[in-house]
This record gives sequence, structure tokens and C-alpha cells, in this order.
Amino acid sequence: MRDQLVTLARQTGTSLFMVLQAGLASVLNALGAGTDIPLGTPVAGRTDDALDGLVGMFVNTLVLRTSVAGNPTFRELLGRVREVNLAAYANQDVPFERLVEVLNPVRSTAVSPLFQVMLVLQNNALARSELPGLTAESEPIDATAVKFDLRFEFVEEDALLRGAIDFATDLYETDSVRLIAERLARVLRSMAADPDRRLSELDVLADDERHAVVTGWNDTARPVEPLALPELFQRQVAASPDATALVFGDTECGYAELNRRANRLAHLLITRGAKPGQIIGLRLPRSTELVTALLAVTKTGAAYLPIDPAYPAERVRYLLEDAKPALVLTPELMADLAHGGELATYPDSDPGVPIDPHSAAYVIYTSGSTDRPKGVVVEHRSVTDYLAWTTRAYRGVTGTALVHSPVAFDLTVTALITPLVSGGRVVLADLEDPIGVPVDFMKATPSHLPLLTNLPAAVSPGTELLLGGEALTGEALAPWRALHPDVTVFNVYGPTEATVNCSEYRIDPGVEVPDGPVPIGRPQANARLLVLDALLRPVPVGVPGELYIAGAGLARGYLNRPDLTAERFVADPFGPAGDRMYRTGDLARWRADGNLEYLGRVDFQVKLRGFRIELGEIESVLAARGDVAQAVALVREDEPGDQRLVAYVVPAGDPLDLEELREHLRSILPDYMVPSALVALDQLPLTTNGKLDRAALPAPGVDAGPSREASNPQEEILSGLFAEVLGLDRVGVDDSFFELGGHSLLTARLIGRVRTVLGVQLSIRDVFEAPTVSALARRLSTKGGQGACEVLIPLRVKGTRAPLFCVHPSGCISWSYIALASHLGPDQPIYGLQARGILQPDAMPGSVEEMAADYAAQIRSVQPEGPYHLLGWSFGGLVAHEVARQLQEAGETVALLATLDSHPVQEAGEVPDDQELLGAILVFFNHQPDEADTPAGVLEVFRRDGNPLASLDEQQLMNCVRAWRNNVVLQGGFRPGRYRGKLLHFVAAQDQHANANPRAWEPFVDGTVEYHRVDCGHHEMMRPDSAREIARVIAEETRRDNR
Amino acid sequence: MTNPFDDPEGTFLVLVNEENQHSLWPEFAPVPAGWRAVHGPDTREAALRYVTENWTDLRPASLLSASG
Repeated sequence: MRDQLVTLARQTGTSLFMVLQAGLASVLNALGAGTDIPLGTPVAGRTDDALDGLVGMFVNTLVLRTSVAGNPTFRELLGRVREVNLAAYANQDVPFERLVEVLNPVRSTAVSPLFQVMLVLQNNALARSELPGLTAESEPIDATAVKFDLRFEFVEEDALLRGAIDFATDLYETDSVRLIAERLARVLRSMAADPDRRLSELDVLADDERHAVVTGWNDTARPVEPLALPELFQRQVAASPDATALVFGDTECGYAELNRRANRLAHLLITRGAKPGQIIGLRLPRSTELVTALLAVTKTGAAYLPIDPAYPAERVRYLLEDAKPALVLTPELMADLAHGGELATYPDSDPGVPIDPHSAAYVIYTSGSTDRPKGVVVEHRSVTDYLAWTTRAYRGVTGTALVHSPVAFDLTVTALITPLVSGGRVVLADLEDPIGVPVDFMKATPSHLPLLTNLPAAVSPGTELLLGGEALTGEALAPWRALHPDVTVFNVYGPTEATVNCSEYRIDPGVEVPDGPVPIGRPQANARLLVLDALLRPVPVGVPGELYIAGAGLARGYLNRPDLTAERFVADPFGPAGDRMYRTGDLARWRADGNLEYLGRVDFQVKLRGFRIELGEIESVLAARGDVAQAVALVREDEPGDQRLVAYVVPAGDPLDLEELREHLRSILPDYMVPSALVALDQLPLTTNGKLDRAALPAPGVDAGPSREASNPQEEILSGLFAEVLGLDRVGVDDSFFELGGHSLLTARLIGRVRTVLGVQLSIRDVFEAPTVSALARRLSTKGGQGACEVLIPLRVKGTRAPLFCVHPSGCISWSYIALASHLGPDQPIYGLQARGILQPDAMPGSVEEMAADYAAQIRSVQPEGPYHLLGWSFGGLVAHEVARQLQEAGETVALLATLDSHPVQEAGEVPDDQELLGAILVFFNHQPDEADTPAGVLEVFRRDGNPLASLDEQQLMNCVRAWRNNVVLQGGFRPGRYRGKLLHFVAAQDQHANANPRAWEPFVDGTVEYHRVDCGHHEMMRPDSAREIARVIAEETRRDNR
Repeated sequence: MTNPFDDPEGTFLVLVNEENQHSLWPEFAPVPAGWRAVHGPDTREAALRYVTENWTDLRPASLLSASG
């Protein structure tokens, strides 16, 4: 093939490498890789002549991106490849690592960044190393670990092109890689043969593969007796007139009786205008009347439209306006007709209206996720065809069938109508109602399984159970099947548009059902199933594609919606001339044995932060556990732009340990597929037809409310940081970061914030292992670090408002101000200023002015220009006042100055000694002063209590003590200057100094002093209640300021 | 995977079969046997407009002729 490919390259002005690249991109596209195919390739990196004489490794990796979008010809595709590659070669000196750094794609441990498939063409003649006295030869090395998912290497050897594929054995099996190789060869051959072919004409399938997926597995044609539903029923009436047809509550109704009732009503309806081509509404509860009316309508040749009486009035109004039924039968109308005696005047003989197989039998409304409900019109020929299948395939329909769902859904056609044309007995009852007779046949959804498992065994069918309407897994089925080992289970599949069901997977008694998705099986008689890709090509076995249905079951279309009908029921290129196929919007793939696997809705296939998420895979991992009864995964967007992967689990018995469950998921799934929130529910919400009601699933973390409040400073800071990173108002100490919506990106942000604020380096693993505030706080105290002792400590950096700068009290530490953060809201950045002397004992300031100048410089490093917002507690109030004054002196504006229980003029008092100060530190952190009397003892108290200072050594603690003493000294000699503007002065109302001169600040303020009394002591101003009150006043003030 | 029938940028035909059933059809794919193009190539929107205007009775032709 080499010569042909080289000729193709020459003709198209490309290279052999580019031809291989175009071919490989086409194959990967056909195997489901999308239309944007990035491939990696190594380059020598020796573009500069100056490197020629140098020994060394200069190899770089290029990422070549091929777009196969828009169904190009090979010639066009090669043109694209040439253009992209030449541009890439021109920039080949940019190191790959640099590219990754700049593009910064979301990284995952599961995939290499930017590309996962490597393409190499070795076209340099193998260098011969001539070394004196030595023979040298190149020998390949057995690689034990591959770096990429797939690596294609080609070597030109004379007229041959040899290829080899390295592959990740945990992703691929040898056979599938061999298949890929065959497909690539086939594609390259057809490229060379006809470069003007389009991608849509490219067949990556071998002839026998193609035959199997298009024809072989769809060889289902079977003759059907051309009798319409009323005729089939009447035939059964003749065969078993006295058998019980219907049981509803205490009433039973035989076949002949049911037929007579239906006939009378049919004659009545005919006189009221019912005839073929018309629609009659059935707005009746599940009852004998409903079944009678259903049969009566079909006998008139009209189509029935079931309307569940439980529907909201709005939906009923919509249905009636859209379908415009000639008549609607309601319980009131039925009662009138019966009791008024009118009905009895009509004959009870079959009306004998001829029914054209192409006339409509019923109209059933289905809801799309985005569109308004649409009426599916199903013709008699399809019903006849479906009944021909069900009456042959299911033995139990001649026994007792339980109908427990509303008739508005077409699964009733199976469990209601099939028995009535087979001589069976239909029982209308809820699952929870004991009916006293054993049930043989039932159709339900997989969501009903837990209920069936828990109800008395007699409710479950003894012969056959049909499960449909939703994806079924082996795990979900196992508990029920263990109780009912002798029942044949069918996993049936089909949209209303294809008349109830079109495929089924039969599970006979005794057959093992492995965990994971249960296949939807093979097509039923006269149905054909196709799995096609975006270019309408049949996909190979194992490749996901969209499922199309063709054959006798196809509905006429959507009532009064020709446009919608024409885009969903489309021309079928694979069947008899003029046939149509229905595109389901479902994803599926063939298994090698000809069974189909359902993979979810096309619209449910989600991409999150660039990764394709297989929700079904997450669900089956969860459901595979014995302690999980049911699981649902989905992507929520409760806040616009904030997409979160959430999984809901129903415990099988005892409450679940969600953290342990998360760990389990992490051990199996790639990190991007681990839900950021796990929510345990007692049961999953169901819609009226028994399917999962996704819209009714609760948003995670909204109803939970914050748990316990922080009990120590470290927890307080951490809960503030959690809240900041998660964008929440507050976070309780028992709340898990992940349950509140944290994901891997946010984890990295949290780690960064913890490092900045608390000076401790956490790993991602720490956060995963200790995801709650309290657990992470415990872990922090085991890690060394600088404590949180930098001069400027960013307590909350996010937010669009001007930051609030808070100066430490004489106790040197500022993180108590984190208490303000939660009350000022997520949009308010807060910084603390702390004594420089803790980390730099030799740089202790000599005056309050000097200290203020230092802090002003720190503040300007964050916010270069005013207006500034400043706050200080106790001694810090004096400093904040001085900072404000200095900033004003420098020409800046100060929009807010707040002091918390600060007293402007204090006589120099006694300077406390070390012992007293150690006691004061303990008091500052809510301990008794005599709990410890040595630095080691104090640190021990802090360690017990999760105080960030616990990570200091004794020397640093004593630095803190000395800085404190320095503050006391500085305060004694300080006289404030004058600040221009308003001062918010908060007084601790319970403090002994509360009634000291309330006007003490006025001489130092050119403006108003606004007093606020806070109900607490001097040391308690950052307790939750006090902080809330202070934050409220400040928030009000800054809002006023912003107006 | 974008379905070719949902591509808002795509170019489409409108096909009709013997039953007068209409089908939207992407231009890139060959017209299947038993169908003929009655409109297009055109935008998706215009093709669907054509369907709405011209396919006013969804009943198959064989049923219409049977009921006279």
C-alpha cells in the first residue's frame, strides 16, 4: 500500500505522514471520537543548524488537530491536514509542556492532556553507529507501560509500510486493537482508490460486520393475520364468552358481557358521529367503564385518546385543544348514559364497521424534555402487528394480568389489550391493593422493582414480568429475582412512536444476570433496529450511536405536527423502498452477540468541564453495591453556569455512609466522574406512569441547612474558607465540602486558600479524606506550618466590593475577624492585619504611628487607591484610626472607619509580665487564664482546641507575648490625631468600661461619631451574635456609601 | 454526537414517498430508494416550513384513496 499512499500524497501536495494522519482521524471519527481529532506526534527538535554538532535530546511533541467536521472528501481533508500541520511545524519549538501550561486544560489522572493518541512515522534511515572496536545495532525495547491510550507507529521499509500499535491494556483488548488496525487499513485503501469520496461514504465496517448490523440481526419478517383490534377481541368473545374478562374491585365482567356493553356504547357513539378518522377522548379513571369505552371507540373506527383524570387541568386543556376530540367520555357522561336509560336502547350486536389497517387506533401524548406534549398517532396495522407478537411471545397473557398503571400510557396495550384478545383475565388494581388471586403477567418499570420486592409475593407475577420504560440493571433486578426465581423476565424497549415496544431481552428462569446494564435485546418480529452515527453510517459493534427504529410498528406521526413528524420519522436508506425509520434520541450500541445495549438519552449524555460523563456508568457502579437499592446520576444546574454532577442513592437497608460511598466511587471511576454531591433518599420520586421523575429530585445541600457551628478558631476560619470557595453564606462544621458542591477545581482553590490564610499545605487527598470542616481542622493541627501569623492575612479574597481591612487587637492575631465574613456575605473581601513581631521579633514597631504606616503600606499592596474601609478592635481601633488619618494625609479617601470597643486615651498602665500575658492569650481564646502557665502548656491547650497557633513553636509563642507587651506599651504613649469623616463606634455593653465617657472619641473625629451598643463583653465582640450585629451595621453603611 | 437531522447549520432536502409521507433529509446523504426530493437544498428552517405548508394531511395516501 505504501506506493499508493505516497502517490496520493504527491497528488495532493501532502506527505505520507499527512495521509496516515487523515486516515487515522477518519477511523477515530467513525469509532465515536467526534469531529475534532487531536493527535500527538514527536518532532526531532533540531531545526537550528547550531544544534547539529550537539549530543542531546531535543525531541518535542506536537499536537496536530484534525477537523473532520462537515463531511469532507479525502482530498479536502488532506488539504485541511496540510494547512494545520504546516502551521504546527512552524511552531514546533514550543515545548509541549509550555503548551499544556498555557492552554491549562482540565487535568485528570485518567487521561493525558491535549491528546491521547500518538501517531509516529519513522522515515529516517536508521543511523548506523560506527564505534571503533564495537559493533552497534539498534534493538527495540519491550515497553512495559504506555504513555498514551493508543500509539500508532509506522516504518517505511522499501516499498512496504509496516505498522505497530501500542495500547493501554486497561482500556483496550487485543482483539479490538486488531479491529482498529483492520479498519485503518481499509480506510487508507479506499482513500488511495478514490480521494474524492466523502467521509459519509467511507465504510469502516467489514462486509460481514455491515451485513450483521444492517440485515442479519434485523431478519425479523413474519406474516401477521390482518385483523384489527375489534375483530381480534370479537373473535375471542366468540371463543370464550363466559370466561371472566375483567376484574375491578368486587365486580367481574365476562367476555360476552363486556362485548355487549361495548357494542351498545359503540352504537350510541356512532349516532353521535363517531367514525373512522375521528378522535374520542377517554377521560375516565381505571375502571370497567374505561375498558368498555376503549373497546367501544375502536369498534366505531374512531381513535381513542386516553386522558388521565389525574392530569393537571392545564394539561387536559392543552390536550383537548390540540387533539380536538369529537367527544370526551367522562364519568359523569357515562353515568348519564347508563342511568338515563339511553344506553339500553342501543343494540348489543357488533357494529361491524370496516376498519382500514391504515386508520388510526389511538392517540397517546408524550412529553419531550423541551417541547410541548405531542400526540402520537398509532395506526391499526401497527397495533395488529404488536398484538401478533405479544400474544405469541407471552404465555401469561392467557392467565391473570394485573394492570396497575393509568391507561394514558401505552404499556397498557400490552397488559390490558393483549389478554383481552387471548382469553386472559385482566385485573385493574393498584400494586398495593391485595387482589386475592395470583397474577401471571405484569408490565412495570424498573423503578417499580423495589416496591414489588417489598410487597407480598402474590402481587408479583408468577409467569412473566415485563420491565420497560427505563434502563434496567442487573443489580436493580437481582433482589426481586431472588424472590421470584421461576419467573421469566423481559427487558423490553420501545418508544410510543414505535407502538409500545420494538425490542426485548428475555431472561429465562435460572439464567444468571450479571451486574451492569441489561441489554434491550433484539428486534421483535417485523421491527428493524439501526445504530447510526452522525453521518448516518451504521456503527461497528461496541461503538455508541443513535438508535433508529424501522418496520411495521412505526406510528403515523405526530398529530397536526407535519414538521416534527418529518424530522423524526425520516427516510430509511437501509430497508424496503419508501420505508421510514424513527430516530429515537436514544443512544445504544451493539454487542457482539447481536443484542443491543441502551446507553441513555442523547440529550442526557453530558459533558462537564470538557469531560464526557457517562451517567449510566456512575449509576451502575453505585447500584452494584449491596447497600444501595437504587441510584441515579445527573448533572444539575441550579445556579446558571454552575453545573454539578449529583448522584442520588436509595439505601437498601441501613443508612449509607456517604463518605465511604464516595471513596468507593473514587476507587473505581475517573475523578471527573465522581459526583460532587451524593444525596441519600428514602425513595426516588416517580411520575404517574412509574418512571423516574428527574425534575422532582431535590437540589443537594439546600434543605440540609448548616450543621453545628464552629467551636474553635480553626474551625471558624475553615468554615469561612469553605463558604468562600463554595460561594455559600455559611457552612457548618459537619458539612462536607463535596456534598455542598465542591469539585476538584474548587478543591485546589480551597487548598490554596488554606495555605494563604493558615499557612498549612494540604494535599487534595487530605480534603478527600477529611471533607468536613471539623475533620479538616483536626487534620490541620497535625500538620506543621507557620500558623497564620503573616502581617497581612487574607481572610476572604473573593468578592467585587472594596475590601474591609481589620487591625488586630493588642493580642496581635486577626483571624477572629473571619466571624464577620459569613455575615458580610460572599461578595465582601476581608483582610486582617497582624503584629509583625510574631514572625519578626526584631522588627517591632516603636510607635503606633510607625505601626500604622507599616499597615497602610500593606493595605495599599492589596488596594492601591481609596476609598478604604477600615476596622479595629480594642487597641486595633486606635491603630485603624491612625491608619485612616495617614491615608487621608496622603490624599486618599476613607469611606469607613469602625472601632470595636476601643478607648482613645488611656493612661500608661502597668506593663504586664510574660506570665500575665500567657494568661491573657488564654482568655483571648476563651480559656481560663490559669489553664496553663508555661509556653508549652499554652501550646498544648491550643492543640487540644484546634487553635492555629498550636503550630507555633515556643519561641514564636513568646514572640507573640512580647509583641503583645509592646502593644500595651505603645498604647500608653499614644495620642490620636484627627480623622475627617464619620466614625462607627461599637461599644461592648456588658463591659465594665461600657459607661466610660461615651464622647471620648469626639475630639479625634472631624465628623459624626455614631454609637452602637453590642450586647457582649470586651472579648466577645467576634462571637457569632455580636459579629452578626456589627456586620449588619457595617453592611448598611457600605451600601449607603455605594449609592 | 450531533444528529444530522438536528444540525441547525445543515443543508437539507425534503423527500416524499409514495404514501405522500414527507421526510427531512440531510443533503450530504444519498436519497434512499422509494423517495424523491421535492424541495431543497435549503436551510433546516425553510425545509421544515415547506413541510408544514405542503404536508397538510398526515394520513397515508393509501388510506385516503381507500376512503375515497
